[in-house]
Amino acid sequence: MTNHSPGSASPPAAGVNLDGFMFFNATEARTLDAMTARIVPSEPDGLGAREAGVVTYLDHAVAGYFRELQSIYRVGLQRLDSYCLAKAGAVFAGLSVSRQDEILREFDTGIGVSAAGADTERLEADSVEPILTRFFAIVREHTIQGMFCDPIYGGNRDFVGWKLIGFPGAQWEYTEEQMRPGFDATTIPILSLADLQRSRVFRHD
Amino acid sequence: MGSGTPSPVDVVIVGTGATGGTAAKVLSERGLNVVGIDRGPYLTPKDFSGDEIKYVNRNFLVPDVLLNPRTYRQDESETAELSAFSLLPQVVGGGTVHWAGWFPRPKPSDFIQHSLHGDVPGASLADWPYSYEDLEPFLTKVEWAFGCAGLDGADRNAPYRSRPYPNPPMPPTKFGRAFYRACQKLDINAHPIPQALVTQPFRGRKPKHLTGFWNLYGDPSGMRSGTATTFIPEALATGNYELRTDCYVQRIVVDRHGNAEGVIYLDADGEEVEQKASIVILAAGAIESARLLLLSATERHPDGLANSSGMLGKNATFHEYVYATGLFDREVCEPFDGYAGHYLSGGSMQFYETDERRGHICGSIIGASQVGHPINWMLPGRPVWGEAAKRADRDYFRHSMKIGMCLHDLAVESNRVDLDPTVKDAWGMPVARITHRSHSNDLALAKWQLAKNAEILDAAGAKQVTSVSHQRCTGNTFHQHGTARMGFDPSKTVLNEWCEAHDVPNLYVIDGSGFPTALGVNPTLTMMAHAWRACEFIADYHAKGRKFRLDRRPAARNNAGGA
Ligand SMILES: Cc1cc2nc3c(=O)[nH]c(=O)nc-3n(C[C@H](O)[C@H](O)[C@H](O)COP(=O)(O)OP(=O)(O)OC[C@H]3O[C@@H](n4cnc5c(N)ncnc54)[C@H](O)[C@@H]3O)c2cc1C
Repeated sequence: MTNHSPGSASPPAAGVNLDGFMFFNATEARTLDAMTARIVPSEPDGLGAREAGVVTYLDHAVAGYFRELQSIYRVGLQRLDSYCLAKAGAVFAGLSVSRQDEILREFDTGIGVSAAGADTERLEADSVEPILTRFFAIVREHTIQGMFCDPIYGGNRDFVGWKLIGFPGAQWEYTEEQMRPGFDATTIPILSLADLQRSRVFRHD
Repeated sequence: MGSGTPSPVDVVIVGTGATGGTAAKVLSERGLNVVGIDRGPYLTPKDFSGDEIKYVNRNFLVPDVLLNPRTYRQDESETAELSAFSLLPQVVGGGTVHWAGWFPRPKPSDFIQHSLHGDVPGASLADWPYSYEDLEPFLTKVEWAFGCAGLDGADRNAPYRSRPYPNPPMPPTKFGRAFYRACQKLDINAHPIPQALVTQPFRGRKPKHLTGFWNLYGDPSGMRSGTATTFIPEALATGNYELRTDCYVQRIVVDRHGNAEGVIYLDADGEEVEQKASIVILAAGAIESARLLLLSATERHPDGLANSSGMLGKNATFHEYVYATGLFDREVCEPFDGYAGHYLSGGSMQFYETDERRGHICGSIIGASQVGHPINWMLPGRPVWGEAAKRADRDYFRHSMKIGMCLHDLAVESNRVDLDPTVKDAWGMPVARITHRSHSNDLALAKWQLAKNAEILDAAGAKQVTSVSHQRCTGNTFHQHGTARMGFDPSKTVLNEWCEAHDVPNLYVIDGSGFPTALGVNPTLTMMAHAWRACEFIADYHAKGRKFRLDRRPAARNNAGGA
């Protein structure tokens, strides 16, 4: 990363570097932290991508399952910073949040484009904007995954995502009482896959 | 895993899904010596959970598109592009492992579309070589052997059935109750959609809890009916069925007399194995079965096996799931609903039959559901990032429901499956290329029905209603049919009325490939009954050297013996 300007560092973010990274370097992680925090902001309730540890989800996913997207992540992150430097005089993470929002809006196609089918060969040939449009669509899609996945994948830390929407986890059974009409479902304790795997539902004797 | 050439058997079945599982049971219970081959693993309830990333966003069950893609184009003028079109699971049990399990019966009109509508311009409608009445005994056999829940008499226009539903339906969900109330206001006949699951102790199965992730997830409870937990174990218990998993069938072998001799597959270790059999059955799903026949071309069959008519792959039909969503200022989804079958609670067959005043022919089943699970829920037009998106997540997730439909797909000859000229799978075999453009009738049908669905949502009190419009088929229902049309005339059809290839006298294709036209309901109950019927013929007549053909005249057909 040649375009990183050290003077513009924002305060260390909650989601970054708690777990270390398998794939991203510190600069890449910092940019992604800033991006994902605009996709699901922490305000006003502290239930945002940062608190959910979304960058850890991205890191695990790109190191493993989405390995064919490694190139577009690397190149996308570099291009985003070059673009921001040329246009706004600082790398993405060094810009104010309102400026970050403006930049991301430029690359927003308005639809949740599916990230499937990376076409890495075309990366170099394309002009800057189409790559950044696709890169943003991928990061957006993966951010939503990291926000609402089971915590076993590294995201949705402390059930931050599920608390936001009122989802109790992928539970397989409820008590008679919980199933009764009118029961306040928000009082059901949230359970993770790990919790469920320890429970009797998963024992098949 | 076997190597080289294992001993010949009576029957080899490619596929262990809805139809291959049915064949395994029917044939092995009748004493035939059967081998079933599937390219996927044998997973059991303990492999499953409600992990959305694993089942919905990644390919734990379905083929990896990087290894085994398909291509899609709308018509000849386009170059087909890589696509995950209608990728059914690659696992023992096939599409029944993680389906929603809507299990409605077809209606008599589905079998006589040409008689009813004549030559519709741009379409190639045909009558089936058998009728609803012919299939009825097999629909009943499947419902009672497999396990299915429904409410007797609730659909006012339901066709004749010889036995009631084996199990009562699940109680309605919150969004289901909203749907029922709205339909009552509008005088629409609404009822539980029959579903492939058990709600009471049934044939050794005990429903443990009335919850469960359905559509797209495997079921850890065993409550839902799938062939991997019913027909496959029953076939194995006969001692006559051998299951070979993780084996990828590459082609069908034909002897010098033009009879099928067996199949060649790659086993789990990549070794090539030939399994010889007296009868070869394809049940790989309508896309893969057509592909296998095309891949089995030889000098004598240059355009693919069983394709002297040139019709193989043509008239392919695929339903599209389209829907209208409603946003409410009250909660319409309880968290439980996600598990009580989020794709089904309340539906209607009121708009099923043709009413030409609507400006189109045919009709489709409709059903109410919630909008999905946390990562992949669907609410068209909602913001997708930033503060507005976060507000939408918080405020809309449990306040939205949808009313969807399985959009009918009129048979069109140029809609087809063939081999892609350039794209190959990771094993070097050409992949299936889908060419499909919806007939204008179906675009009109979608528009009319979605407006009706929106009206129901309105009556349910939605404060905002949005419809998705149907533009192109994406294969999102995973319903595949028509690629090896069955009929009496060998110059116009691929299979005969028993699902046997006109050209190859001991080769059967028993999945949806044979359907001359699509249905307006989810097809799998019909496919399984269709497969059961063919397999009884195979066991009771073909295997005993007493094959016969039906007379094409309907009057004579109804009296034909046995099946
Ligand atoms: C998410 C989802 C929800 C659905 N919900 C419903 C519903 O509610 N109602 C309904 O009626 N239908 C539903 N369906 C459709 C239903 O699953 C299919 O109609 C049905 O499974 C088709 O049965 P089949 O026997 O033709 O093929 P499948 O069940 O797909 O079985 C085919 C089998 O063949 C194997 N196979 C394929 N090629 C090869 C090869 N070359 N070598 C070896 N093995 C091979 C596959 O691995 C697979 O196991 C749903 C499908 C999906 C994906």
